[in-house]
Amino acid sequence: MRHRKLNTRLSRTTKHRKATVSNIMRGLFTSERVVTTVKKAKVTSRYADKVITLAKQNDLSAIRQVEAIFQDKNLVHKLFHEIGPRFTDRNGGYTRVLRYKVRRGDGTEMAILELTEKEIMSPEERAPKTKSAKKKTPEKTVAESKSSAVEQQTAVTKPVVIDEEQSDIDALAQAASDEEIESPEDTTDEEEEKSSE
Amino acid sequence: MPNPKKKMSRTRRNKRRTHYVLEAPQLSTCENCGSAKMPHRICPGCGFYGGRKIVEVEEGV
Repeated sequence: MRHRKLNTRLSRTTKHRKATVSNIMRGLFTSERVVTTVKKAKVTSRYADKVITLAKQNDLSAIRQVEAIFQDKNLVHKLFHEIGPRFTDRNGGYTRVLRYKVRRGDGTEMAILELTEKEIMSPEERAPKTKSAKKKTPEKTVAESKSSAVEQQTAVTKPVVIDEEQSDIDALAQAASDEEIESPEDTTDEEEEKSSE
Repeated sequence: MPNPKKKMSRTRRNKRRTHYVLEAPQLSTCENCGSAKMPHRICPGCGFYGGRKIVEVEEGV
């Protein structure tokens, strides 16, 4: 029985909910990271994980199932050729929901929904690759991660590179925040269109 | 229509209201910058969560 398996209705009809989720997913797979409400992020995360599982299968059946969700062949291509292969070493947990801030206007808690394996990864994230997202040690301070990054650097060059390293991180973070500013507007606009219908 | 028989005295009213208290939010400290933040959320001061930088925080906004 599939009784009571529906997590939430998101105050929407079935069609509207499906559209909302696929719109957010579209934003997620094009820009790797989106800002939405916590509830929407968590609902979308479940579906996004399933889509990535399909993308990893990479057969005709899987392609057709994904095409039924996205009417965008370029995006489907990206899913099967870029995003899917990225997750071959990971069994589940392809997305991450981080509580971000409170939205002005209605006080809704917003969250960042992102892929756990991103195209552009910060050096800190790239270094401990063996660690899975869930096993993140809370004791790990920034100083430690920095020092490990520095150790890696010193293997190649002298420790003067710290500043460059730092600026690299800043640049990456800046790039990420740029994306973020664009992507949430995308989703909200589309949602508003949908609701005005 | 049914109505209260007597006016509620100021004392009774005020006694009831002694339990109307706002609770302060539970705060934790950021592992990166040490400022107070809500637990399980990205630090609004420095943009860190779980030992890594998540977002760039704009100054003077």
